[in-house]
Amino acid sequence: MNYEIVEMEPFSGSEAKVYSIIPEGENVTLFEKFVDENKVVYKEEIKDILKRLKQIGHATGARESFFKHEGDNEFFRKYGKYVWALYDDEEKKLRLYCIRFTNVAIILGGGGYKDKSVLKWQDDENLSEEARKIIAYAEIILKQLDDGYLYWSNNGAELEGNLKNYDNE
Amino acid sequence: MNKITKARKYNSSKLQELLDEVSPLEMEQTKTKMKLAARIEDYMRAKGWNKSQFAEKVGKNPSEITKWLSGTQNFTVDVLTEIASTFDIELTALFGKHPIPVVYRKEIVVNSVATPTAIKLITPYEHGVSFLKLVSVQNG
Repeated sequence: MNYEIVEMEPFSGSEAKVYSIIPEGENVTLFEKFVDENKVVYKEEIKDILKRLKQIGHATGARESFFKHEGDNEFFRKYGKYVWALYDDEEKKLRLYCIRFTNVAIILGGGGYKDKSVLKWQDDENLSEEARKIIAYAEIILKQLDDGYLYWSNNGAELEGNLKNYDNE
Repeated sequence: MNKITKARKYNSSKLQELLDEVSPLEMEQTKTKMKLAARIEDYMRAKGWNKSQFAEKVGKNPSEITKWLSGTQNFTVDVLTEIASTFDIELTALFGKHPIPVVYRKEIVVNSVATPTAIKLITPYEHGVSFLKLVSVQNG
């Protein structure tokens, strides 16, 4: 699974670093793809997400209370609480997944429409695909952190190291 | 030895276009909601309460508190007044800038066959705080 972790400039700030992932062979981040897919039908909700991400980066940090814990039991038992969704109440139509490292950093994944009748992401084909994707990336990134290919900067705020994880580089 | 590389800065004109549609007032409103939520959570932690305990104090469901702390809640003055009163602070303190000293606590319960039958250790583990409270817990 080849990918590059990039820092999302408008959102990343002094309170939290905001990253996303560009899979090999693609030009846009997982987050941008999510925005593109939903910005016509759910424009106001997308703008609300952008506003909140900007404040997380620049004003508040990635506090746990701004997110909902997601993922599956197997991942949680093995790695802990790393897969989250940006908080959405039952009136919201969109769900956005991310990997969260305490208050200091998030890596944005994709997401999609969430039907009110769907209680678990496992019951929705599109959300399942996006959730499994972010879980898979989280597993690789956490392993890279364990193995020292990725690490935190001296001030503990930034991811450094092998951010372009390509087999041939 | 790994070479130190930082993440490439990434900007997207499409995302920027959407952000440009957000007025400074709208951005400020979001900021206020999120900072207010953060402050309420810090006061809650400073009291040593979890969400359920806070919910009980204000007569709400814990799910309502989750919404309050999510940074998306548009509070009324009445609700904020009630929250401030529960924390025993002035309403304006919820909009203050000074940091709230938060003490995080961990509980370790050690079961024992001897008397007392259990020892409950309560200790803050946040940096800068160093005291240890030993409480003996009697069964029954």
